[in-house]
Order: sequence, then C-alpha cells, then structure tokens
Amino acid sequence: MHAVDLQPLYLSIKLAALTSMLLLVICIPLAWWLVQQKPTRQALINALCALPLVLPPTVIGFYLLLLMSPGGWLGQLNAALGLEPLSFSFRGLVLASMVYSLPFALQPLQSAFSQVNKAYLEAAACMGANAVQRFIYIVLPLARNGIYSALILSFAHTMGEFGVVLMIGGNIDSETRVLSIAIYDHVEALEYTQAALLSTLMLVFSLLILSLLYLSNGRKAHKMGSL
Amino acid sequence: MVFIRAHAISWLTGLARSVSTYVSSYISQRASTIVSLFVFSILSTTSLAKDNDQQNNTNNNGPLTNGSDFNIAVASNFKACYEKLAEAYSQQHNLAPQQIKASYASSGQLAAMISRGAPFAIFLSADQKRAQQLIQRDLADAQNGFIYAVGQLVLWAPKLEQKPGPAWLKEHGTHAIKRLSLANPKHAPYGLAAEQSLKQLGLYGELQDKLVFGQNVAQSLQFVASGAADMGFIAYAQWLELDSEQRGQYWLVPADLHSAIQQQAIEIKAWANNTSNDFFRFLKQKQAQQIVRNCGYLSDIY
Repeated sequence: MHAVDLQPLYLSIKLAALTSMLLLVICIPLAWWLVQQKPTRQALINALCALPLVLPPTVIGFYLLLLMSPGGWLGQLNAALGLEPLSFSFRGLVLASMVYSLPFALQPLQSAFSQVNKAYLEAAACMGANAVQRFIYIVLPLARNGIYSALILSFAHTMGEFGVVLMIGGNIDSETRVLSIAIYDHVEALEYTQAALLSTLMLVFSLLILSLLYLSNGRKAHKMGSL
Repeated sequence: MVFIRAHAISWLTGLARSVSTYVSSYISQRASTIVSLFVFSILSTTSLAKDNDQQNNTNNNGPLTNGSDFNIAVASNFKACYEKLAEAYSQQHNLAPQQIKASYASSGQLAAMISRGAPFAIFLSADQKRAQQLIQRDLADAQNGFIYAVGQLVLWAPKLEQKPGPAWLKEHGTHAIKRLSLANPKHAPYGLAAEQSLKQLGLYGELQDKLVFGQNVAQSLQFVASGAADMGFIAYAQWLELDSEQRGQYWLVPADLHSAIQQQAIEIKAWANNTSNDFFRFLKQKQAQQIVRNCGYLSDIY
C-alpha cells in the first residue's frame, strides 16, 4: 500500500482559506451596495449572483475552462497583463472557487445587512459620521453574525469543491490536486484504504474547523444579548 | 383521537418536507458527477424491470435468463465504436435498439458498480485490470473473457505546423510546449501508456512540469480541444472521430513504446441471458473485429 500523501489536505485548506478571505473582501461592499438598491435591480443582480447555486459544478467548470484558455477573454486578459496562464494553476482554482462559492458568501451578508436598523445610521449621520465611518463602526459590528456565516459557509463549501476543480484543475500534484480530487483518484485506482483514510481526515478536520468557528460566533453573539 | 392523528400526519409531512429539501440541496451541490452515475444505474435497473414485465418471462431461473433485454457496461473511450457494433448486431438479429441498454463511464466506476450488484450482463473494460478484479470476485468466468480491442495512442497537436514526432519533441519539446495533457496514469490505461511512451523516449523528465492530467482520455481530449493544453495524448479512435478541421497534426505512437492497451470483455454470470450470450459471441467474430479495426483499434483475434 502506498503511503497516504497529505499534500492535498494542505492544498484544500489553503484554497478554502484564500477563497473565503477574498470573497469576504469582495462581498461585504457588494452586499452593502446591493441592500441599498431598488428592489427590481436588487432582484436581477441577486438572480445573477445565485446562478452558481443552481448550475451544476461541471457546467461552471466547463465554461470557466473555455474562458481561461488562451482563446477565451479571461485568458486573453491574463496574457495582456503578462501573468502566467490561469488554467491548470492554483490562481485559476482560486478564481473558480470564488465564482462557485459566491452565493454562499453573499447571501448571509445581504440578510445581515438588511437587518441593520436604519435609525442607528441616521443617528450617527446626525452626529457627524460620514458614510465610511458609519459602515465600519456601525454596520459591520451589527452584521457580525452574517460575516461569520459567510466566512464559514464559503470555507466549508470550497473544502468540498469537486466538480469545478475536476474540470479546470488538471490534477497537478501540489498545485491543483485538492483533497476531493485525491480521494476520487484513490477510489478510481481501487486504493480504497487510502481513500477511506483521506475521507475520514477531511471529515474530522471540517468538523473541527466548523465547531470552532460556530463556537466563537455563538459566544460573541451571546455577549451582545441576542438569543 | 382524530386530533392526535391529524397532528401526527402534519408533523410527519413537515418532517418529510424538511428532509427532502435538505437531501435535494445536499445532492445538488456535492459530488454531482458521482451521484448522477448512481441515479443512472438505478434508473436503468427500474426501466429494465418494467420491460421485463412486458415480456412474457415465466422462467424462474433468474431475473433475465430467458429475457431478451440486457444492460451492457462500456468504457467511455469505446462509446463510438460500441454504437457501431450495436447497430450492426441489431440489424443482423432484428432487435429493437432499446433492447440493449448501454452505460458509459470509466472502467473503475463501472467495475465498482458491478461488484456492488449493478445489473450489467456484459462489461467492456478499457483494460484488463478491472475485468480481472471482477473475475477474482467470481462475478465472471476467467475462460469466458477475451480481448475485444487493443487501443492505440496518438499525440494530438491541432495548433502545430509539423508532426509532433519524437524528433520534434526532443528538439522543440521543452520550449515550444506549455501544457501537455494526458489521462491520469494512475487509473487510466491510455494515460499509463502515454507516461510509459514519454519515459521510453527519455522525455519524461524535461516535460514533467508541463503535464496536465485529465480524469480519463476524454478529458485529455477536452483540454486540447478547448485550447487549455497545446497538445495531448488521446486514443486513436477518438482522433478518428474528430471533424476534418479539428484534426490537425498528430503522431501515432508506435506500440513498442508502451505496454499494450488490452481492452478485455467479460460476461457477468448473475445477469447474463441468451441475448447477451449471443452478443458476447458476436463481438469475437470477424465482422465485429473488422468494425473494431475500422474504429481505430487493433484486433487481438484477427
């Protein structure tokens, strides 16, 4: 029996962490902007951002592969910027994971922001706070639960990502061979022991991370006096 | 009493609804490829049962012994050739096309499904290893199996001006190729053959960083077709399936550079019936082997 390679685990963790962080950076301003739009515009953009929820991951991966290849516009933009090719690279995976997990980061943020009481913002405006200050010191702390949910959900969702990575990864060791692909590889090669080992590892690790995140979320919420 | 029963029913419906929502969202977001394969095998099982009831099957020797329908598991690289064989057989024997139902997947997945009771009468594997595995589990007879096709490997370079033969690879390979795709050598026979060929030519070391692995030889083709990879190793049978504009330059890898890609066919004892026996025999005959050769494989028998 070949020894179990743990490199895919580290790669998965790296991908999930990077994706969820970048998604938070992009989705927090996006969600705040969306929540302030008129309902029709909000509905249209919501529908667009929720597409990765209903599309099969293999379809997302298929179109991303076409876009990232030298003929597609993502690939051409990349080449124009002088960067390494996107397909079959870790950067390409991060981009694809961000598209794939976008609704999981955006929707909790949107619901948290929409629950922020306008009265606090108006009071702060009366006291002289500008838009940025109101956002940082009032909106973000009040929406803390939503931010944690977005982080947890996008992290967990990216850890389990399979279809998209299968289509655009190229299964390159220590670059795009994430944990789900490695498990699938072991099953295909009839190495069921290694597959079971990696699966258990993934299960235990995911459970640990999620419990820690939910615990910290729960404690902070309790301090604020909510249920 | 009536109140308690109504309450219980509404609670049960609520529970069923929440469970089904959870299950459906879980399934749609995770491992859709694998689950869709299982759903396919379940659907083929139920449709097979329905057809069986419509036939006058009064035999008690087994589910399909005297039935004239059967399921066949075909390795995905053989799909096009199998369809030609099935057509020839159906015309000869006056069968309706829906009487033989084919499922296409990688040999590993098919072998795993068959070893767990999937109702396939015949298994056309892409290699010998998976078929041997099922023989070892006593699901098929060793003496019944035979090599129905020998695969040929091709290095396909649609955007290249010259033939990507060994001379070109040795001279220009390192700087001209950005990405070279092949099937995963760990579990795909064409990928293993590609890796062996590169090692035999002494090019594996310098090209190793440029290699991209598809899950199977079909994905290797897709990487090249989409332009993500500059060139890739595919099956000769697949290259013949391409349109003339898509074809471009290619190099047919000589068979002595890799171990033979022997694709073995076996009959699964539990699900075999008269028609499947007949089709199995048909695959060994000259006409079938001629079709196999025309599709781009070599014949082990003739």
